[in-house]
Amino acid sequence: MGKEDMRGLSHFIADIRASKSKEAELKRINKELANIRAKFGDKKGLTGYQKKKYVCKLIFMFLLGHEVEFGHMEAVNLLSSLHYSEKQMGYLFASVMLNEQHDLMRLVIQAIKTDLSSRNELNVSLALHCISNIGGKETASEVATLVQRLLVADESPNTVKKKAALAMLRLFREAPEQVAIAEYTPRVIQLLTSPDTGVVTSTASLLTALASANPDEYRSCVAVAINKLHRIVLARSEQEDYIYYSVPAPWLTVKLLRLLQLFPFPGQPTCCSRHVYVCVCVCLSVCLPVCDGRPTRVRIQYFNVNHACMFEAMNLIAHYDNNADLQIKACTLLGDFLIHKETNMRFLALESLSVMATTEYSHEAVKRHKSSVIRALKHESDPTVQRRAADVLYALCDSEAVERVVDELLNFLDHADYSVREELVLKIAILAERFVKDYSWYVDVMLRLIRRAGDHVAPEVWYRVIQVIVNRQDVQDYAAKTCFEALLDPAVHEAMVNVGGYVLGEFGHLIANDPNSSPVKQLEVIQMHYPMVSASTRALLLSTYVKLANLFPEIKSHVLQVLKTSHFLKNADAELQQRANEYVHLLQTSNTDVVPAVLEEMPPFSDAQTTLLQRLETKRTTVTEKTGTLAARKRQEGKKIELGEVSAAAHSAVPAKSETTVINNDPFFDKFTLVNDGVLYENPVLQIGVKSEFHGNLGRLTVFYGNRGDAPMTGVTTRAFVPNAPDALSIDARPIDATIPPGVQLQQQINVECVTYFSDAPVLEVSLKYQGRAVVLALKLPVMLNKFIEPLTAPMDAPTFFKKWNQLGGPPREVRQIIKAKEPIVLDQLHEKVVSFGLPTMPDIDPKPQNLVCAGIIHTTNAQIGTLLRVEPNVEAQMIRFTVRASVDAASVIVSNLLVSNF
Amino acid sequence: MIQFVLMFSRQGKLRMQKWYGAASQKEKKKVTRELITLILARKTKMSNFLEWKDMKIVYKRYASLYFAFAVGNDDNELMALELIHRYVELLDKYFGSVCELDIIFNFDKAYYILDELLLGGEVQESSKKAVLRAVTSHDILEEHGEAGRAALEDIGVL
Repeated sequence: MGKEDMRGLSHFIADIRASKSKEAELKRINKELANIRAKFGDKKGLTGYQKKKYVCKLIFMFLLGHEVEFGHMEAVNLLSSLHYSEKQMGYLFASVMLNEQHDLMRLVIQAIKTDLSSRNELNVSLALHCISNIGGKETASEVATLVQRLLVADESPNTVKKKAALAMLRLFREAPEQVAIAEYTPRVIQLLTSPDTGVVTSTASLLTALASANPDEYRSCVAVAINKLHRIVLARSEQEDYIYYSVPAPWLTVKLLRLLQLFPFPGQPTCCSRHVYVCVCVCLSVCLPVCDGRPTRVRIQYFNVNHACMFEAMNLIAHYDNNADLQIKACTLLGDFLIHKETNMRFLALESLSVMATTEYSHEAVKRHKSSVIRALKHESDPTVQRRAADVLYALCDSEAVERVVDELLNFLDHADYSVREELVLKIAILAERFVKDYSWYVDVMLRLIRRAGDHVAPEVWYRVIQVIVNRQDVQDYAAKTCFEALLDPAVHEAMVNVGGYVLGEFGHLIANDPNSSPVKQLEVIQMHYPMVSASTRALLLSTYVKLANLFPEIKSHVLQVLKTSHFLKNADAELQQRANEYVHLLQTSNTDVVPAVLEEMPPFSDAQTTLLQRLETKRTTVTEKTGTLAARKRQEGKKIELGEVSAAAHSAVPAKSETTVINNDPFFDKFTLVNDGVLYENPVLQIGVKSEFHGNLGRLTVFYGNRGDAPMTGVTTRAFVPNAPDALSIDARPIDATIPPGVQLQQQINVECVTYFSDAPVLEVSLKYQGRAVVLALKLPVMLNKFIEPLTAPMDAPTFFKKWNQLGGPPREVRQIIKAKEPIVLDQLHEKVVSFGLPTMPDIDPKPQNLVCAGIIHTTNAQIGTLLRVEPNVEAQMIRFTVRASVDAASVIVSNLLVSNF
Repeated sequence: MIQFVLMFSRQGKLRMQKWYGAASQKEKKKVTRELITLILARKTKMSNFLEWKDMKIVYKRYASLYFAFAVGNDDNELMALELIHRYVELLDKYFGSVCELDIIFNFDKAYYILDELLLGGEVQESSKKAVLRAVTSHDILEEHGEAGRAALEDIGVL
């Protein structure tokens, strides 16, 4: 029971509560502060009890929101008191009122160190609590070793071990470099087998954090965790204290299920995979009576923890994504939860469905719940739940459902919570573009979207609409017509004015024959909006004026008249003034060729990757998601891959996250099998290009690093290596300056020697810092085995070729692959491609003229590998057969694979 | 991971706050004010979960007090909800049918109990008995000093 000591404190609190007004409270506080200050200043000194009491009052005032500027020293003195309660109060003060920057932290850390080495378990516990509460880099450097020792020492009691595990966790989160826990890994994992559930739970939390930073190091905990899970869930052998409303150790169960999500499916040993499935099955089957609500005699806690385990088990199978039966079963269950009486359950079911929708095996099963999800979107009264429903719809949308889904999302937009509208707009825009069948539908949807949710339309959205319209000729007249009609409404949103202005400027001529939308009328409509819009939109409208004047001579004089008004020529906005002046001169120029040339129709946008996804990502990860599980990451990646829209530009070199981001250059890489020069990686601030040449077994690459940003890139270091076969190539990368100033391009020379055959291209790892963020680029270098192929010195005739061909013989030296051509076969082009691959063709060998026959030698330091190739295209079936025979089996395979992936 | 814990009254008075990550005093005030307003505005039929920034707020009302735990996006909401319940059970057992006043007058105890249940934003001890044993052993020690220590050693707590 709480003790009724510190009567003064109770009186004080009662006084505060009795205060009639804020002023009265403040008066009482000030009186007390003055009193305490006087006491602390008293030279006679105070007893420990008095100090404790006053410190407690100070904490109370601080928690009420008042400034407390003194007493810190007295509080810190309490830490070394011999009385437990005084020490405890000192630690409470430290946890509540001090942070790691405070001047007194050094003293606190000293006290912590003393208590950590104390023989009194309660003092050790207090110190561990304080570490977990305050954290901090400095604390970590001082105490990490002590805490580590307490964690793994055999003589530590369980109460200390579990606290040490969590203190360790806090230190690891804030200062991972200070926590050298690697050498203790096996002993930490061993703690999972402890008979004390408290210790196991804390250890599971610690391992989750450690393993998400470094999964490989902790792989061995999978089997231990599964074993523990199996014992809890199936054998139900749990200490009685840990049974929560008849469910054994639910917190631990969920923790273990989360820990497993950091690792791939445990295929070996088979008992592991069997056990994990069994555990999941049990978790899925404990929650039957869902639709009619719960029987009254069973407590809600029982259901909640069972369902918690169920949802976590679903996350796990979604992460594994290798068991269609279980996943479909889960989706069916979730269907029942969608109509559950409790809002919580409906919310969680929707959350799980959006996870399930991103998996391979259950994506289809989720679609079956489409109408329930739409119902939730329409009728739920809780905006949080509606938002989840919108997420699921976004995830399950396909080209069949797109019209319905987009329509529902648009309706929802009108009454959606303001905080989610921008995300919703982006999602609608993405879906409409991704699954578009009819572009006039797309235009309708987008214009509706812009008109309805104008304020929430990010600029990227309307930029994209314009890009799509410019690139699709068939929809331009429809777009012009619709935009014109939309602009007739004087109260239309500014984003719409932007789109309309641009589209009429480009395509207004397509509707000019209609008397209702004659050039004069178009101009009038635009002029109507001009006074109401911002400067940037006005600038865009000015361009529309001049474009119209170019297309329709009949309104040229009118436009000139408008532009020449002093509003434009002397506009305070420099951009507007400049445009107006330039346009006036342009229209008045005597050279008749200039105007049409300048104002020619915009060329189609180079098949620009949509920036919408990027925007959506940044919207989602506005704040670092440090504890993101693999499943969550996989979810996002999965989405990207599914779209096939992983644009390299989407990997900005300036990630929102503060930790290091690793970026690869796969999207840029494929072309390099056939060419030697090009862009290796590119984003808005960084461009890396490469030029390469090869002779025999040697190659020389020049890599160009261009900083396009406005801040210097610092700490630039590079390292080149060959994954999987480090000795196959010898690579010498010259060092490069550590700093790339903005706007500057640096060069780096890399020499490569091919020692033996290899399958994976070498990787150039470039680390740099840009605006305080660390980025690591893992760039594949364009060095493949085919680069080292050289033609034969003397040409071959047919008999020699077939002699060689037969000498090499069939498999394993022969590899034959038949593929469907990725692009229509044109024989000349095919011929060119084979030549640029590095194998020169030899005419008149194969009786069929369309078949290609090639021979070359792969130069490596260890050996020269003769390589023969026959390419047999089948134009009718659009298939190509490649047959490679090389004097080394592995080389045949590598060459064949390189060929197949490029044709 | 639990980012922070708030306890506040129906009138919106903050009774307790515990932060498991570094945040400035100013930030804390802003976040608390915003969340208290948001949660008090929610209707009873709504779920106990609130998506807020990159976190989920799991909250529940017990009599005149609201308890709110801010958890990460990947954390299990129901377990957080039950953790709140466990904390309330512990307070109830310790104070004997707890009320808001108990927490106001013994705020230090409310913090000590929370520390035994949760540490560094993770569950430390889910067993009710174990937590109460730890908290009451502190009390015995406090009340009886050295004699208490001997008694605790006798019953094997120390």
